[in-house]
Amino acid sequence: MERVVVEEGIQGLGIMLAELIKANLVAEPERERLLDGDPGGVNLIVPDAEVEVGLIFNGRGLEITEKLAHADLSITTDSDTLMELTNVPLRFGMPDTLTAQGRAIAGKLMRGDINVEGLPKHLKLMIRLQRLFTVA
Amino acid sequence: MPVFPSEEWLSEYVERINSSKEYEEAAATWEGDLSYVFEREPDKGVPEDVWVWVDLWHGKCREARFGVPPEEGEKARFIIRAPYSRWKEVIRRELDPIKGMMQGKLKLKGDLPTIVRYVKAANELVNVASTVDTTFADEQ
Repeated sequence: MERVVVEEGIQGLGIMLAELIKANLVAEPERERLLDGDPGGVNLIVPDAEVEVGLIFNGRGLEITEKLAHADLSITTDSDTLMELTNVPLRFGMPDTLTAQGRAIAGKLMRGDINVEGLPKHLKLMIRLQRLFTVA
Repeated sequence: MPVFPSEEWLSEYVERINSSKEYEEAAATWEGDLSYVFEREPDKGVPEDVWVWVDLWHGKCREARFGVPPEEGEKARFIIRAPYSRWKEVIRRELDPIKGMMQGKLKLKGDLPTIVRYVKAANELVNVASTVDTTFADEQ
């Protein structure tokens, strides 16, 4: 059974995220366990590219859909930062501030260049997502 | 001034790639070939899909071929395709390639984690393309 599914009609960013996560799962199958666990919904909003997608952790896998009406987490950032987020080394599932890339991301979080609604309540969900899509 | 797309334009592009310090640095460890597909727009002077293949290796372009057959171009490690007029927007820097991919305007086939790791190199390839003095097929 396909564990990462893209809703019909989704293009661009949704497909990119699915391809990225699928490739990461092939490279590191142990990341599959991140798809298990508590259900949760995430919106990813990229205003400069005018794209929004929803990600639903349904306990069995991940569905990539249109933006969700109600999301546990809502991440808003620009397209360059989103690429940085997929490329940042992690420590305990969060950007590693011992690295230059991690510090850059931390700085953007502090300045509001990355806005995450739903933290700290859904920190675990954020960590699952970050671990799934990082390539670093 | 070379016409985009054409063999003359590709030669100029390759020359610019090979003299770009920024690209050389960003792609220092890149190993792999890439096909660009400029999709047909007959009303804009591009009657057929044009496949261009470039062999990129450690910050340089070792070889490039214009008008390769699709069955050959499809063997490349990465394929980026879009209609001719989208490429025109990219070369004119009216469309950022990463945003274009996020919007589904440019379609990428290949290992996405690699592209993510080399996003700066990908951007430099576009920056280089925008430095080529270009006449566009629909503006001749």
